[in-house]
Amino acid sequence: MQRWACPLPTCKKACRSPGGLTQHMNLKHRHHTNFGKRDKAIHRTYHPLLDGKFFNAGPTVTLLALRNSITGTPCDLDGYDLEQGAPPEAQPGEARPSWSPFHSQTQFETADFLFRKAEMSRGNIDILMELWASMTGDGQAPFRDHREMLATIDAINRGDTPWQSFTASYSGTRPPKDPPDWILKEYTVFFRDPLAVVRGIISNPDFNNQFDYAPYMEFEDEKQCWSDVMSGKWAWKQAVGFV
Amino acid sequence: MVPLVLGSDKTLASNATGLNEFHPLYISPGNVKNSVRRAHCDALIPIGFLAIPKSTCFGSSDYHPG
Repeated sequence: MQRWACPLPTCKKACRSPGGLTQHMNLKHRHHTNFGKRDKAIHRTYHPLLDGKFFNAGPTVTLLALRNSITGTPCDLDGYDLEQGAPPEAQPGEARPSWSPFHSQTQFETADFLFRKAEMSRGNIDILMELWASMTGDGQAPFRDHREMLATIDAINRGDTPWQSFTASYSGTRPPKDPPDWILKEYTVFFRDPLAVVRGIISNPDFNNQFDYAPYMEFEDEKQCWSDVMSGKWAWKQAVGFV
Repeated sequence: MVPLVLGSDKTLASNATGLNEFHPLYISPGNVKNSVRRAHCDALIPIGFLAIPKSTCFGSSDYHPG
């Protein structure tokens, strides 16, 4: 018969069901856990229910995807584990990095330098482009003039999710006379699609190695350390709640 | 699993005419480490500017919708 063992080394408890183990963890190990003679070292525990063995009882794509969404282990688009150390699959539509809408790296860097770093005036950009064009054999500068440069910058379609807005106003019962100002007024709310924004953040490679893929409990010596969101009780409970 | 953290601070944004005030609303995935969230400008992103109706009589039950 399968047993669900408590992950803490000093605890010998084994439960008959995943639910029982969750109950045991909540009841006995809520605040502190004694690690006995363990050296003072940071020790990180992931929930045993998130272990592959539990799910391998009857693996289906759905279960695998569910498990990977909780354990954060690298997997393919269907939820099947990648081999250890294998690079992640390429995202659809991101075959290879390009400088688009810029023609080249030089053109991008010129725009980046003039617009962002030097904050050069439009007139001066036009003068510089003319001088630049006169020095090259084919008479080509990175941009014809400041207009072409600004239009190319505007054509960048990466990154920012577009802003939207709606107006709202009070629609309930109005007082018979002299309604207050806030009842008459229209209010504009600006917003952008939260899902698109979050997708943008979590696909940003800047956060590589600065990102927790699964909830965890961390202990230093006997004390549990609370730091990032995924080290907290709330995140732990959410993940185990799925299971 | 991607927990989402929403926040709004007390900074009010007003436009040039000073007629409108907004409360910015921010979002950040809980997976990003706290130290990075504070340091990286793309970890905490504004997703909304909420309008703030001003009134002295919100407490009156007469004007509540529904």
